[in-house]
Amino acid sequence: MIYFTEPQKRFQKIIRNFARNELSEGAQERAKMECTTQEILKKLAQAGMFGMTTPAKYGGNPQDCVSIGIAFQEVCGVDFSVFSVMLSQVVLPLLMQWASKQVREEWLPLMVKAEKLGCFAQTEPDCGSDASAIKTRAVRSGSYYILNGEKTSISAGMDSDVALVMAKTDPARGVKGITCFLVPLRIPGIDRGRFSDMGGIPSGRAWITFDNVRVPVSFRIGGEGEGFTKVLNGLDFARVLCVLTAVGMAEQTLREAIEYVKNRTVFNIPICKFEGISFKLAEVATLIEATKLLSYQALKLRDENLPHMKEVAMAKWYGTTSISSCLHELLLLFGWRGYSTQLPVEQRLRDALGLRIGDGTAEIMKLIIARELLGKEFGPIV
Amino acid sequence: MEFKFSEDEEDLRKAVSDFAQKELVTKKFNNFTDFPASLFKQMSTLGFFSLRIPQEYGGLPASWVDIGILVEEIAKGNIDLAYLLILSYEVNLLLAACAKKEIVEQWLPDLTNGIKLGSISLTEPQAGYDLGSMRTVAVKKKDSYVISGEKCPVSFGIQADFTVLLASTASGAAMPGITAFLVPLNFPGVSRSPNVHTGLLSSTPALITFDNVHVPINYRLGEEGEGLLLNRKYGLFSDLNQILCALASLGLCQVAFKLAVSYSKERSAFGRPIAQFQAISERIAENATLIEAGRWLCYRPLWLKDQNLSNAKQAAMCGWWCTRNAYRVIEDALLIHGHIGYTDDQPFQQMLRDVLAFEMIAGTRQALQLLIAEDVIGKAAVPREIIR
Repeated sequence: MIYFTEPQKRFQKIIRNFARNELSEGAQERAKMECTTQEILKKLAQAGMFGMTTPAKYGGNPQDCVSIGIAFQEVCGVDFSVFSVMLSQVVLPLLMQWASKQVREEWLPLMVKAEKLGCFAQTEPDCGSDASAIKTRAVRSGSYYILNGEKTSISAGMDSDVALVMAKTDPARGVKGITCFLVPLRIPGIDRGRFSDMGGIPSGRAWITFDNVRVPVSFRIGGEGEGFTKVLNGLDFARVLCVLTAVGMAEQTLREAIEYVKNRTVFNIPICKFEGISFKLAEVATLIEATKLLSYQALKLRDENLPHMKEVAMAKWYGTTSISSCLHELLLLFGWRGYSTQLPVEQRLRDALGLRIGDGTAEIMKLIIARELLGKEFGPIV
Repeated sequence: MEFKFSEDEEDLRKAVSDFAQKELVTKKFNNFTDFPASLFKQMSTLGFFSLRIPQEYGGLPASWVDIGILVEEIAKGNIDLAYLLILSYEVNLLLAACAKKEIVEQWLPDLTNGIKLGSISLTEPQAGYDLGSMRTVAVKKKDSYVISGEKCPVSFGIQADFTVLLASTASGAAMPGITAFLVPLNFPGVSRSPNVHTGLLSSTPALITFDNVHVPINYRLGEEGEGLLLNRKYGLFSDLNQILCALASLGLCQVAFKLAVSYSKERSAFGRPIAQFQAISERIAENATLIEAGRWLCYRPLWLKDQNLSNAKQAAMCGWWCTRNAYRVIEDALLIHGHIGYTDDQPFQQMLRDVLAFEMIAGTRQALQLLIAEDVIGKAAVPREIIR
């Protein structure tokens, strides 16, 4: 069982009030818009929602991982349209630790204020789960690298000013030949376009192509061949934040469903008096609680610098699968109202489905868990 | 015991399948107006709207199994049209059985010719399963009924030429209760507005309001007080509705399933086709099982109906189980396609939104499972709060 500390509880209270007062109005409309508005970005930045991983000297307001999880659950659960832009801060610690001084000082303060937005570009058309198969190439040429290739399925890719791009500097070495670069996206040779998706519409999921893009050596993050291991660490964090966002959405929907079933009657009694309804709510609440426990456990381990890859993987597959089925059940409780676009449930169901795929599918999560259980020698064949 | 379709049934499946693959799959229909009149004409020429209608009105003999085959195959081509056909059968059969002769003669030929379209106005904002609490009233005045109330959502309500309306005739009627009427939607006092849903986009569900609509007495369907009975026999609470919604869902999910099977052979990860990973192949195996079991679960109660045997329990089983499984099969097909499956370029997202509707149209899971429980356990299973 995870207990929040007093400061975490205070933080939760503040963020919850902020989200419900400032973001719930209009959230349903924003969920169908193609980008996050400047007004909302400013509001979030003022509330410190972009600087939670960044030290104060860059303008941040650092929080522990559990608190950041709380923020995602409370904020993104109420207004899913801000999820992808908020998520990009998980890569900022990488910049702090590994980027050149020039890059840190130029970009971090802007990103903390959401004046510049970032994204993470790993997936390619022919490789999703299998990161070692990426084809994007970076070739050193004097004080530059020349990047060529195509990245796809990049969350916040349309709105971002800069991307953390994984490219191969030494194709012969598999994952050990992958290097990470910070690539400003408004320079020559870059093209991008939007995916038209069933959910997560404001995320602006994009493909990005690199055609002889010149990136200064100072924009390399870490050493050559160090890209994969460094980024993996940030991915773990992002995965849990996906799950807690889904938790927030489901909790919001559960609150709405509870109101509905108390007011909706059949045979002159509220429908919640029937076990077919009330036990469904009980099941949903249980799945949400289990998901929360798995997620915060993983974040707590992360805060304590303990191994947590397996716990993250468990939270990711179990949590997003469970939340998706919770939203499906809750939608059905609302009947045709839930099916209409007047209520936000149908959009949430579509949004939550994306969270099952993004940042690692259930299959990859189970692969991680199975490997830990069985050891590498007996792990699944890949 | 013989678990197979007859030669005639196989021929019918092939003919409908050919039509669906040629005329529906290759074209894109985003809303109702995209369906050309010529398509309805073609469907009526093929007899799709005439099944089981008496021959004197241009009908064609068909078994209930035939109707199931037709709906399943059309659903593989266009799910909205499959739904339109399900509603058509319900409306047409109800009319043929219960409407006055002059009303049948006036409307039925245009329905079987695919020129006119009917709809069913049943639920209200405050009355779903509990139809007895409906507030729409029909008050008898001289030789007509005066109807007032609100119905929502009425599928195809925006395009329909008339609606089969259920209203309360509790006051001033010979038989108190719920009564069915045919109400042309161009009658004065009728207004309708669209209600946007996430799926079955061509069915444009409507909110229809009836404000002192005068309906001649001969537009009544059946007797006063027979409304709920007719709805259970022919309408939205019928065995036919439960089975056909299940078959439509299964038809749709088979399309998604087939695409997932092909994709699993084309897409590689870690240097091999993803079909070689049991995480994928086992899901395909599971879904194949759900489809196979579901289809037989549907055809049996249709066969029972053809033998004039009771099928209430089996039909209710189709209604909740197959629609839920169809959702799962489509969801898996989307997930097997990964992030590509999530886009609007692929059909899965719309299929998922479409199939979700059948989990409600077939009847809520709670209502259907209560029907089954009642059959299995007996009256003791019905909570005393439920009044039928």
